[in-house]
Formats: sequence, structure tokens, C-alpha cells
Amino acid sequence: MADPATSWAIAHSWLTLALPLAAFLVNGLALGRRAPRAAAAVAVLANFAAAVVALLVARDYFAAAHPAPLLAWSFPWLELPHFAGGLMLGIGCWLDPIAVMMLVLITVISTLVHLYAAGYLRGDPGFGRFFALLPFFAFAMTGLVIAPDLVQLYIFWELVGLASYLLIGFWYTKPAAVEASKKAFIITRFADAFFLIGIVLVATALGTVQFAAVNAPAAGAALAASPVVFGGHSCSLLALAAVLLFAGAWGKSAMFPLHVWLPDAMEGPTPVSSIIHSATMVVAGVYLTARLFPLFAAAGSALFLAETLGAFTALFAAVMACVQTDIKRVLAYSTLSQLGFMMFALGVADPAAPAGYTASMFHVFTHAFFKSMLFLCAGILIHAAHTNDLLGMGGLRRKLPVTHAATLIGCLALAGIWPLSGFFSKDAILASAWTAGRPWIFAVGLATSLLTAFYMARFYLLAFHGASRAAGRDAHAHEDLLMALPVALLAVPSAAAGWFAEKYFAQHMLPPGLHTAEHAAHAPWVPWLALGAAVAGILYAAWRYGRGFIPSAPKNPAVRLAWNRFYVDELWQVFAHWLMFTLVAAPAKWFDSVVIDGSLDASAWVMQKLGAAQRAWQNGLVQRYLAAMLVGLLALWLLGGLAK
Amino acid sequence: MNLSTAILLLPDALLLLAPFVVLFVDLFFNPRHEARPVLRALSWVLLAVGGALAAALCCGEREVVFLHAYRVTPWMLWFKVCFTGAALVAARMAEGCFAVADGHPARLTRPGEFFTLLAFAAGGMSVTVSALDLITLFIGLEMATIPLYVLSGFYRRHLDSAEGAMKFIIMGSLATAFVLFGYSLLYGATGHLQFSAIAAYLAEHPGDPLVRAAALFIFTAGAFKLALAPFHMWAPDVYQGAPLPVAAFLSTASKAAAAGFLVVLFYGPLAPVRPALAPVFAAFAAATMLVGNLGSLRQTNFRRFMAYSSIAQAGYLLLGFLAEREYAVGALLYFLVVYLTANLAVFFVYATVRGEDVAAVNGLSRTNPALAAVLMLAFFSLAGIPPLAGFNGKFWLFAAAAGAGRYWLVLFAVLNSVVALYYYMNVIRAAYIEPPAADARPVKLPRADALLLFVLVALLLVLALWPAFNRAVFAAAL
Repeated sequence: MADPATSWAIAHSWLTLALPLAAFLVNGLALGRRAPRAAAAVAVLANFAAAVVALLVARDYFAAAHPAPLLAWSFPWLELPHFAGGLMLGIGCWLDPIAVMMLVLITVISTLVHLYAAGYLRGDPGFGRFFALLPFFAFAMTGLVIAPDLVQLYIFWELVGLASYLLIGFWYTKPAAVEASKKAFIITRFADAFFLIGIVLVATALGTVQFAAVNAPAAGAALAASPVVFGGHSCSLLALAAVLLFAGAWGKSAMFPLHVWLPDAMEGPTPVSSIIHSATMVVAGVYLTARLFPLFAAAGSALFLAETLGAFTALFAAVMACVQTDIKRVLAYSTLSQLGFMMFALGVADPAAPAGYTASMFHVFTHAFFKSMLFLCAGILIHAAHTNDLLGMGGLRRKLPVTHAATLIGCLALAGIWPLSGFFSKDAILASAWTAGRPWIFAVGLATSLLTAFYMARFYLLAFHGASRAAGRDAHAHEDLLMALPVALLAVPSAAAGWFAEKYFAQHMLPPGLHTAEHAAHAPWVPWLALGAAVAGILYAAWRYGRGFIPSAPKNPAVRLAWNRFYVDELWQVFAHWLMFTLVAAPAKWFDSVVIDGSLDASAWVMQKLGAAQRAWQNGLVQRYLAAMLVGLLALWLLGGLAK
Repeated sequence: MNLSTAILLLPDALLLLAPFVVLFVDLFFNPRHEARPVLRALSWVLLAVGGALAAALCCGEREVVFLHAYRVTPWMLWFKVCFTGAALVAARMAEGCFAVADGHPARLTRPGEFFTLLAFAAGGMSVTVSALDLITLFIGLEMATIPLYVLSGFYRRHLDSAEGAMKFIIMGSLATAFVLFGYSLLYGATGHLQFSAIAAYLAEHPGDPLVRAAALFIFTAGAFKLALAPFHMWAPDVYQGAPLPVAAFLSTASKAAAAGFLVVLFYGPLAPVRPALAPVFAAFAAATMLVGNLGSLRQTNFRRFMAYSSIAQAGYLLLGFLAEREYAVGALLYFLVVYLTANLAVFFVYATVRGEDVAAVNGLSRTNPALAAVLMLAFFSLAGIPPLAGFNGKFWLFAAAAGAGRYWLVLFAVLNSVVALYYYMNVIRAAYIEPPAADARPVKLPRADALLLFVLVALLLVLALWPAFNRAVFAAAL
């Protein structure tokens, strides 16, 4: 049972990929339109079965003392024996500690979100379509995490992008949703273009795209030895390829300044936001960085980028989260900030002291549970108060007791209060930054922790405490069983995952090629400091919002400052729009309409004229046909080199 | 030769037996000369050939030589798979033409002769690729071509058909004259008819100008049968005049036979001359693609349209000859199998809707969505859209040209593919967007035909994603 080689679950780990795909096909082709309720049942059951398989895989995989990466299943579908030293492309299931962890995360959260969506979207005209698309999202993300090579990862990476496009724009009659889906797709595609160039560079330089080979020290050395020269500057192919590959992660994980799509992506239905912000899509970038960690570590450049961008995004997004009043936007900025944590933790790690790597994966794990739960709670709040605006809620704790308790757990976990899950992972990240000798990163992290605690407490207090500001809209507020159940189930890992899983992560979540971690001395004061910062943030929020909140023009200078921050944020958004539309999109449109279309029209015209000439030549007279054959013979004579 | 190698010869023996079986059945068991018993006889023989081919491909023996004149190896067997499959599908298509009412333009008569000639042509093609000396090669190629002259004129009362057949014979005779002249030059230079002896002579005298002249004359025969520009001018007229199943057979099996003929010679005894002919292959490939694609742009008659489309495809095919043998034969075989499958599927759809014009499929997505989907997938494969197998086939050929360093030619071929995509998409657009004709009724498909179409389309999808096929084809070429 304990041996991964003989495990039934590992041998059948492809089921985690096949089951959501089957649900997508069945619902998309047959059930979606005719029997939407049956489609929902199929989707939930398929995901549940996938989750069971994933949990069995995890049990059998981590039974070994030092679980080694293994190729559980593979099917080659394109062999290029004549190219780049025998390139082989296939679909496969590559299991290593982070892949197994992500498998569990995706399937479990996806099952619960499916269940929740069955309640949330009840009566929506697109109900059946939704239950075709959501399994597709889970399928795409699963294929991404179990990819044994860069090409499969890239294919599923794009499928994740496509699925997110379809789901964010699910309410396609709503202009804001269409805008948001386009924005998410275009910005991530923009980054993916660089990612693809990186993959092609690696494939041509190494002749392989397998992670096992790409992450090997020999690959890094081979890439480092080949210099690239352009414009008189030379850099190693390694540095260039690593930065290009990282660009994919940059866009997908919404690092500054490509983060602008993520807050808008909340235009999709709330279950979609929940799954995008926790187990799929945004963590794909972090996952890619972890997946290619040995290569990035050898290059240095990409990890430096991850570290600085991550720290900056963490602080920047936390400041913005403090002043948002839209309930989903608070959570969206908070996700950005937490992604920053995961990224800079990876950035400060190095193969000799991989504490940051472990901490980052740990945070991916814990964050997924409480963030998906918080979004699901937000969905219930939106249904109850019929608004997204926190200023229009308040006093809902008695009407929504389960949601209230879950949100409290989620907020405290995200704030990093002991003994909830977020405390352990955030503490591990801060400690890794400190022990890696990055005091500035550590300081940014600590400040962000304080802000995090503040805005989550604010979120909680505004939604549940004080008098109701809903002006009667929340008269029928109640908790739907289908929606409350997943929330309650997610509250368990949100609370306990950190305490429970800490030692597993310390033991198993190591970069490839490393079996024992040298655990650096854990500075004993770090958790106390982190906890202190979190408590300070909560106390300040309690002082600000705890005594009942009157939504009026801000008088307090601190709040006014916050509102000004908000203003800066809007400016930034305007600037980003200007950058994208005036500097990039407008010239691109000109180029497209004048140069591309113009040359296409011209060539089509030329083709039609040539075609007419060709038809005129074919006049049906056999004399001319025979003459043409003689001309052909003459041409052969000349080309064949006999005319000398 | 023993029993286990004899299986390699069995497909050819059956294939050469097939026309006689058909004649016999028609004479003695078919007093009213109906299509059904004859077709059944032909189908059974061809299916037996198919079974024997599969057994031969799977058997351990790699090669058998028979009477120093006839050789069977795995790559030849793959060619025979192409001929047999195309003959089978064409025969199935023809059955519909015998069944339509008197007076219908697609009406065919005299099934016995028709199927006999079809079988003779397939047998001749099979002989061509297995020849080991010039006489066998010549007989094979003539045996493959002469029945096609007759078949293309099988609408005896149609002027178009007679005109096409007449042009075909006149130009075919000229091509035969060229190739005979080439053989005689080759014989004159080397003093041998045996391929092995010719090869031995060439190994000693690599730069003999007489041999090169012979090679050029021989190439014209291949160019004529493949319809390479400027030897292509018969094709549109002949296809337009010929019955639809014959046009389908001409554009598939006949092309494969011509490719096989060129492979037999230019990767056989004439291999030392081939590198010197690379500019010929490149120039003819470019000219053929251009002429075929330009010609297709505005055609309204379906068979004429497919004639130009197959001319363009022959241009891509010629790119394969730029590579060395180990790679080229595999790439050519891959392309041919996939091209034949897609082309036969397209012809089959038109045979089902009984259309003379490209516009006959207008609104097909409403009258028969499954057929419309078949048409779309087949055209996408012909255009080379991944993940259909047509993409891989084209990719291997383009890679052959790139491997020979001819990047401009690859670029030219890619641009040509874009033009091809345009006119293929036009037909798909007609099937999906144009309204059906006012008198259009839902198209019904016999179950056997539906199964056949399903197999053809499934092949297009499966072959691309099934590396065993790729491996088998490239291994057979070794």
C-alpha cells in the first residue's frame, strides 16, 4: 500500500485529468442545455471522484520517506525524431511533491466550489453552460500541474487562460464582464508570448523540454555557456531564457505592473473568483516559478525579479486593499498581496537553503483554503445584502451565523493569528526572508502583515458588525444549504491546515534534487513580531470601525490619506489604460489596419489577377497543352544542368 | 523463397487476380449486368488484399525478391495499402452512380467493365512500385495508366468526358514516348535493364551525362502522372469530364503511384543523379504549387476545383524528394496516406450529395450535419490545420525542404498553403453559412457509407495523435 510503485491511485492518477474532462464533454455536448441540473450533478460528482483519487495519490505518494519525482503515466503523441536531437511531445502525469500538493488543492477546492455554485447560480439561464466550463477550468489546471514537460505545461497554461476568459465573461451580456474577460485574457497572453519564446529558446538550446532534464545542473551549465549577443550587449542564454520563462509567471500571477486584470476579474460569478484566486489561474505563476526553481536559481536573474516584484506587489496591493469598499475588490487586492508573499519567498530561496521555497508552497496551500472560503462567504453576503458594497452591509452576523463564523476564521487566518493556518505559512515566509539575509524584504513583509490584518478586520467588521446599512435589502437574508456546506467544510482546513501540515511541508516540499533540508536556525522572535504586527493591525481596525461605522465623508486625516491613496490607485489605473490603449493598442491597430490588412488586400488582389491569367492560359486546346509539355521538357533540360 | 516470405507476394497476386474475378463474376453470375454482384466481388477481393497486406506488414520478413524482377518491402506495402484503399473507396462511390435513375447526369452503365478496369489500374500501380527492372516498371506504369484513359471516358454520351479522355490519351502518349526515350538512353548508356546492374554502372561512372539526360526524360513521366506544372494541363479537363469516382481515383491512387514510381527510380538505381536534380525538384514544386493554388481560386465545377487542389498538393509532395532516402520515403508515405484519406473523404461527400458544382454542398450543415463535419475536417486536413494529420504530413515535407537548406522554398510553400486555406475555407463556408438550395432535401446516407466516412475521418484525427503510425511509416522506409 505504501509503495508508490504499486499504488493503484498513482497508476490511475490520470483520472484526475480525465474525470473533469469527461464532465466538460458530457455537459458541453449533451447535458448542459437539456438538463442543467443533471449537468451540475455530473460536474460535482466527477470532481468529487477526482478529489478522492487525488487524496489517495497524496496518501500513497507521501508514504515514502523521500518521495522521488515519478512519471505515473504518459502517452507520447508527437515524435520529432529528426528535430532538435529527437524532440518528443506527449501528455503525461509527472508527480512530485508540489504537483501532488496542487492536485489535492485543485480537486478538493474545485469540488466544493462546484457544490457552492449549484446553489449560487440557481435559476441562472447559463446554469448548464457554467457546469460545462467550470470542470474545464479544473481540467486545464490539473493538466498544468502534472505536466512533465514545458510544452504540456504551456498548452494547459493557455487552456487555463481560455477557461478563465470564458468564465470571467460568463455573464456576457454585462459589458463590464466582457471588458474584464478580455483584459484578463489579453494581459496574460501578452506575458505568455515571452513565455513561449523562452520555451522555444530552451527547447532549441537543450533539445529537450522535460522538466527533469531542464532542471538538471547540466542544463543550466549548458545554457550559461552559450552567450546571446544583440546590439553589442551580450548576456548568457540562461539569464535571457529564465527571464522570458518568468514573464509567463509574471502575467499569470498578476505581479506589478501586469496585475491590473485581477481586480477586474471579479466581474465573473463569485464561485469563479473563488477558484481563480485560490487553486487555479493565479497560483499557476507561482507554481511555474517553483517548478523551474533550479533553472531560475542557476540564472539568478529571474529569482531577483521574483523577489523584488513580489515584495513590491505585496505592499502595494495591501495598501490598496485597505481602502476598497467593494467586498470582492478587497479580497482581490488581498490575493495580489499574498501572491507577492509567495513570489518573494521563492525569490529569497536558494538551492542550498530552500526554506523560502518550502514556505512559499506552504502559503500556496493554506492561502487556497481560506481565500476560496472568503470568496464563497463574500458570495453569500452579496446574495444576502444584494450589493457588492461593504458600506451597504453591516450587522449580518445574526442572519448568517455560519458565514459569520467562517469569515471570522478566514480573516484571522489571513491576518496570521495563531493557531490558524495563515499564521504558520506567513511566519515561515517572514523567517525565510530574515534567515536569507534580506532585512528589507523582511521589513516589507512585516509591514504588509500589519496592513493585511487591518484590512481583513475592516472587512469583517464592516460586513457583520454595527447596524445594518442595507436599508431593508437584507430582509430575506438566509443561508442556502448548498452554499453554506462548502463554506463550513472549507473552514476546517482554513483553521487547521497550518498546524497539521507544517511538518509535512518542512519534510517534503523541497526543490528537485534535494532530499534533506539544512534547516537554518529559526529566529525565535519572528513569530512573536509577526503576531504583534497582526494584532496591532486588528486593534487599529477595531478602533476605527468597531464602534459602529457611519459612511460619510472622511474627517479623520488618516482615513483621508487612505482615500487619497485610493485616488492614486485610480490614477494608476488610468495610466495603465493610457499605456495599454494609447501607446500599445493604438499603434498596433494602425499597423494592423494599414500594413497587415493593406498588404493582405493587395496580395489577395494579386492572387485573383494571377488566377484569372492562369485560367486564361488553360484554354482547352490540346495543342497548347502539348506545347506546355515541351516547355516543361526544355525547363528540365535547363534546370537539370544539361544545357552547358 | 519459402512460405513465410510468400505472404509478402500474396497481396500483389490477389490484386492481379481481382480484375479476372470481377470479369468472371460478371460473365457467368450476373446475367443482367447489375452493379451489385460485381462490386461485391471486387470488394471481397480488395478486402482480402487488405488483409494480406496487413499480414505482410506485420510478418517478420522484411523483403522478398521474386524472379529477379519483382521485389516487395515494407515501404512498397504501404504504397499498396494506398492503392487498394483508394480503389475500394472509389468502387463504393461508383455504386451510387450505377444506381441513379436513367437520364441523371451522374448515371453510369456497364459495371463489369468499370470495376475490372479499376482493378487492373490498381494492380498496375502495385506492379510499378515493386519493379526491379525497366521492363517491369514500364509494364506496370502502362497497366496503371491505360485503364484510366478508358475510365475517364466512361460517360460515353458526354462530350466533356470524351474530350477529357482524348486529351488524356494524347498527352499520356507523349509522356510515354518521353519515358521510353529515357529508358532507351539509360539502356544505351549502361547496357542493362536490371536496376542492380544500372546502379553498379552508376557507381563507377557517377557523372555520365547520358544517364542524367535519361533521368530527365524519365522524370517527365512522373511529372505527367503527378500533374506537375507545366505537365498538368490535362488534369482539370480530364477530372471534369471523368465520372466522380474515377476523378477520386485519379487524384489519389494515381498520384501515389506516380510518387512511388519516382521513389523507385530516384531512391533506387538513379539515386546518384538525384542530388544534381534538386533544382529541378525545387523549381517544379514551386511552379506546381503556384499553378494549382491559383487555378483553384475561382473554380465552380467541383471536379475541376479538386483537380487544381490536387495539383497544388503534388507540388508539396515533390518537396519530399529534396531529402535523403531514409527521411524522404517516410515523409512521402505519411503525406500520401493522410492526403489520400482526406481527399477520398471530400470526394465521398460530393458523391453522396451528387453535385457537379462546388456549390452543391451549400447549407449541408442543415441538411446533413454529419456530412458537413466530415467535409470540414477533411478540408482542414488538406489545408494542414493541426491537430489533424494533414498538418503533420505537410510539416514533414516542409521539413524535408528546410533540411536541404531551401528556406525560401519553405516560405513559398507556406504562403501557398495560406492561399489554399482560403479556397478550402470557401467550401466550408458554403457548407455552413450559405442557405441550402430551395429544393434541398435531407441527405440520407447508407449505413455502410456512414461507417466508411467515419473511418476516414477518424483516421485523420487518430493518425496525427498516434505515434505508432508515424513510427511504422518511418521504420518501413528504412
